[in-house]
Amino acid sequence: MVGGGVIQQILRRKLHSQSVATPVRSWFSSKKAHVDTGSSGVRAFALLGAGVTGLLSFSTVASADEAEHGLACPDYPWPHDGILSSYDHASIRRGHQVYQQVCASCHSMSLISYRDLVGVAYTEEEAKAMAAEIEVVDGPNDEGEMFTRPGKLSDRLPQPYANESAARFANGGAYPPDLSLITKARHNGQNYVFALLTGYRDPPAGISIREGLHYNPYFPGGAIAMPKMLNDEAVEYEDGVPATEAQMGKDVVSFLSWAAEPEMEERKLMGFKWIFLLSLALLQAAYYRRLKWSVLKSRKLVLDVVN
Amino acid sequence: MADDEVVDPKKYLEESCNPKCVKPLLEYQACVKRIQGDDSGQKHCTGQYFDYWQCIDKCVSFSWIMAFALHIFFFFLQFDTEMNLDFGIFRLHPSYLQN
Repeated sequence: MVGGGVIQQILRRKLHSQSVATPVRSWFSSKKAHVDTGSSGVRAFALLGAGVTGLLSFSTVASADEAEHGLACPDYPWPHDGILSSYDHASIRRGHQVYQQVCASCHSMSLISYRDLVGVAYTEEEAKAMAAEIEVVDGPNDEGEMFTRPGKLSDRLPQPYANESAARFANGGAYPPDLSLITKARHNGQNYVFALLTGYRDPPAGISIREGLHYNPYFPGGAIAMPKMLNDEAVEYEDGVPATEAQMGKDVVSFLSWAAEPEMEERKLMGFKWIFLLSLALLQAAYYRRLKWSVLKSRKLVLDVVN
Repeated sequence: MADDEVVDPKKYLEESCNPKCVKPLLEYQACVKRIQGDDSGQKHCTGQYFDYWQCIDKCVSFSWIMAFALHIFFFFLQFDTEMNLDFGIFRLHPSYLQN
């Protein structure tokens, strides 16, 4: 028991050099020093001391891999947050433009078809015209040969590389992930992607990143293969909105959120409607149950008292 | 164009949040000074760097939430933004889209 107190003291002194005030731990150690009566009480406090020293050592280890987890990204107020909020469809349209001009050279979005964009970001004619700009391999024809044709609405968005190996070879071993589901595939995806894209900064003192990688505090480990892609005025928006880095980040994340969850608006409407109706049904069911049970709940039992 | 120089709102907010995060910034600068002479390559200031940027990020997102809240407030005064709410009973939509 005394040993536990000594360990507490040593750890406290070590941690003081790394972190600021830790009043809780000193309270623990002072409490232990006072208690001395009763062997069961002593054993309980010894166990408590062992547990706390375990926790303390865990915390010193945890602070060492801060960079491993990446800087926690803040929560931004997305226009489509909220139980009845729809996507900003103008933002989705701009975001698709950013994707096409900035990201599509390395990142595929192989789960999205041109027809998915109709009614969401483009009219049918616009989407057809966009699809017709790409060449798609189709076939075999009657002669058994594969041929290329202009794209149709039913075709998927084009892939920059034939396969993952080609992608890795062209990017120094790093694979630019497919972006169709990226905001669902990363923890706190929407905020993470926005923070990542707009968060390229100089590394902290003492950290050097090797040639070919770039520092990004939000990326787990800190060294990301992708360079900073969003720079002011990199894209000229069709609707004349000034294309600042933050604007492009917001638009591209809106587009990626839609790509990962195209059903979101319908889901929210359905959810609101059914939760409302089921709440009414719950009230009705509660009333009906109490009505039926009232017979039993209001009965009186008489015990015959024998004098 | 009205303004020739486009000001990135995020950078602007980060700069305006600097005064709120002076303490972690000073801690970071103190760390930089401490490890200046070190040649072993083992010392770094990631912890203080993260604390400083976390403070800035929290302040920036808060400013944005405040700006967004004000925007919503003024939206309901004037019906003039990009938001599109439609649950069949009534429809709020931007005045410049005629559909």
